[in-house]
Amino acid sequence: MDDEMTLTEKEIQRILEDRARELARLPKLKGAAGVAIQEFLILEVGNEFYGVHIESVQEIQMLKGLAAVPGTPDFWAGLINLRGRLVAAMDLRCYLGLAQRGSAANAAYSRVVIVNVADMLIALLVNEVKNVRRFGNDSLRPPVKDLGRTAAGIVTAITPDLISILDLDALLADSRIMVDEQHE
Amino acid sequence: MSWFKNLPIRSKLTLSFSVVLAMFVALGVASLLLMERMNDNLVKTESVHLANIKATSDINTNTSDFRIGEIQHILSTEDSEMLKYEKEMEQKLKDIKANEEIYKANLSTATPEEKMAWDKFKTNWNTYLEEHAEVEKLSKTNKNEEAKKLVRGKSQKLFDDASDALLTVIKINSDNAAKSKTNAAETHHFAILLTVALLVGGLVFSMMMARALSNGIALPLTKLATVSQKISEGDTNQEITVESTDEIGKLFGSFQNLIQYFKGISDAAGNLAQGDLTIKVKAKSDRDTLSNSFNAMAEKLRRNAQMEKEVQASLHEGTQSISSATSQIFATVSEQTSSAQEQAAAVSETSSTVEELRSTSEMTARKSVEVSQIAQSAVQIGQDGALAVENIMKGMQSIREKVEAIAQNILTLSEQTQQIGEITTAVNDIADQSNILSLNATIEAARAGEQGKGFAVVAEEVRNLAEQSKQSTAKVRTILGEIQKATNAVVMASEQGTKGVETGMVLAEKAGDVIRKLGENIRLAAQSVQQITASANQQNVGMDQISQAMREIDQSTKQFVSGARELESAASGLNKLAGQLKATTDSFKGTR
Repeated sequence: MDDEMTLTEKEIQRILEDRARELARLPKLKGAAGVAIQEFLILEVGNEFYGVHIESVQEIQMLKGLAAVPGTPDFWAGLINLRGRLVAAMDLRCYLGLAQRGSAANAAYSRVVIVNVADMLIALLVNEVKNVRRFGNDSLRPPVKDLGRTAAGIVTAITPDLISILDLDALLADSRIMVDEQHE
Repeated sequence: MSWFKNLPIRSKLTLSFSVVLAMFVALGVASLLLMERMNDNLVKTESVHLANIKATSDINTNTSDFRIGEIQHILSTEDSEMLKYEKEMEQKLKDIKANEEIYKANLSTATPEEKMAWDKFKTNWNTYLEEHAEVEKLSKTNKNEEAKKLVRGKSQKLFDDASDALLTVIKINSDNAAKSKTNAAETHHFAILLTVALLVGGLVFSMMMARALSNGIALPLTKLATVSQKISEGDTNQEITVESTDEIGKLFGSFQNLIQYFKGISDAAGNLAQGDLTIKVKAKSDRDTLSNSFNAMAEKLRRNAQMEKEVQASLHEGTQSISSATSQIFATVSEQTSSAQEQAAAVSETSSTVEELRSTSEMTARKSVEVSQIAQSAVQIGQDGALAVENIMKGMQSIREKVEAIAQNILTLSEQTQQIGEITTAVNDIADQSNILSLNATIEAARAGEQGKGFAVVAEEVRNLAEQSKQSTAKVRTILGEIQKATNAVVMASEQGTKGVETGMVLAEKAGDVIRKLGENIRLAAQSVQQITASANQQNVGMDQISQAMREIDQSTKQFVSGARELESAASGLNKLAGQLKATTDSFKGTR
């Protein structure tokens, strides 16, 4: 703490210069030539990290007010108000079978990621949105199929650093969500 | 020896010289006798033994020559030769005969042994001569072989025996000569001893006689000379004793009488000198003028003494009254002197006591001055202490104010920290929103495709900034939390400090009170000490005055004592004078 406080003028100058250089550098796309590169938004949910395709994300908002809706499946945490429009908020951990219903109240979610799936808006409750990352297709690994049945289809790939890539289009295939759509 | 002492001097001298003469005569006679004896021995040796030795030796030689002649005769064959040897032998026989005659003259004094030896020689020699006649006859007829046989046989033996006997005679005579010589030597020795003994005896006896004579005559005369010399010098106190009846004894008796006479006169004069005027001397005869004159003188002195008696009586009375008066004076003066001496002793004692007191009071004054100085410095120290306590109080006050200011500052700091916390919360919210905004921008950029790529980078950077802002605020929050804790601790410490300062102030105030009281007490003590110093000085002055007075008393007492001593000695002189006077008068008592 003291060291930080006692930075000399010169050091400060140096740090700022380094920083400017870093900013001026164009980012390099990973992967070899000819390999398709995809961009993923990395979400932190509970203690896990998940990636969603950036094309399917509309926007990110602070979580301000979550109204629970009775008689809905466990993974629906409630409704949020997005500029006057009501959007259903999904507790991903519940949906993925990692937590019970009601855990959202204790999970300290602070963000909502609004995703657009087939013109349908869904709010994903997350602890934190980390950043946008790029992966070459060759670096992604297929998920382990034999481990379970429920929502297994939603995880389409695993990155080398063990981030599960979610296929939001697969949600549409889920009957539970479809029921909800019909209700609407 | 008393008989010798009492002999008259003439007899003594005669006797002594006669004895000495007798001894000389005895010495001379003895010497003559001994010399005669020595001469006898010498004569005997000369005339008898030496003559005998010569005669017998000649005989021996002649017999040997005769024997040689005999053998020559045998060996000779011519008649002329034989005749020559016969004549020689005849001559030898004649010589032998002559010597025999010489020897025979002394034979009467010979010992039987010598006589026997001589007879043996004669017998053998005569038998040999008979044999010789036979041999000569044979030789003349030139029957030499027979002659030789005879000579070697019987004749030889006879000759040898005769020769032996003759040698024995010579030996005996030689021995006798040696004996005579020994006798002469012994006699000579004896003569020396006797002569020396007689000389020594005579000398000793002569000396004894000389001593006896000198003791008997010279010593008494010397003593008499000494005594008469003393008497002539007037010393009559001499004593001599009569020890013999000779002329000297008589002289001693007369001297004794003379001394007695002088002693009598001298004693009488001595008594007269002593004052005994009644003395009288008995006159030895009418011609004893010394005794008569002495008696007349004594008579005259007696008369004079009678006249003096009356004067003496009155003088005696006077001296007695002087004596009693001086005795009284003496007694009185002695009494006064002794009382004055007592007074002097008392004064001296008092003086020494006063001196001691004085030194004690001086000591007190010195000590009180020291105590006073100490008290002064103690007062100063007390004042310094009070000042120090005041300074402490001031310091405490200042500390207290400072601590209170610290507490106030800390409170302000705490409030400001609170505000910083609020601000950081706001910053945190902004950072969150910035984060979301940046992410949304990224999403929008992704939608925009290739054109949005550059924008996506900016959005990412913005997101990073937001992230860093968040981290910074988190850090700031941590720091703020620590500041909060520190300020809380400071608040507590300043509270305790304030309390400690208050306690310290109370204690300092108490200490100040104590020091002030102590200072007051020391001041009082110093005042008391000053009073003591003044009193001690006054006491000292008083002691000096007493001391002076005592010295004056002592001086006058000493003067009185010396006066009394002079008086005493004057009285003593008077008393002595009276005593002398009395003695003088008393010395004439005998004449009264």
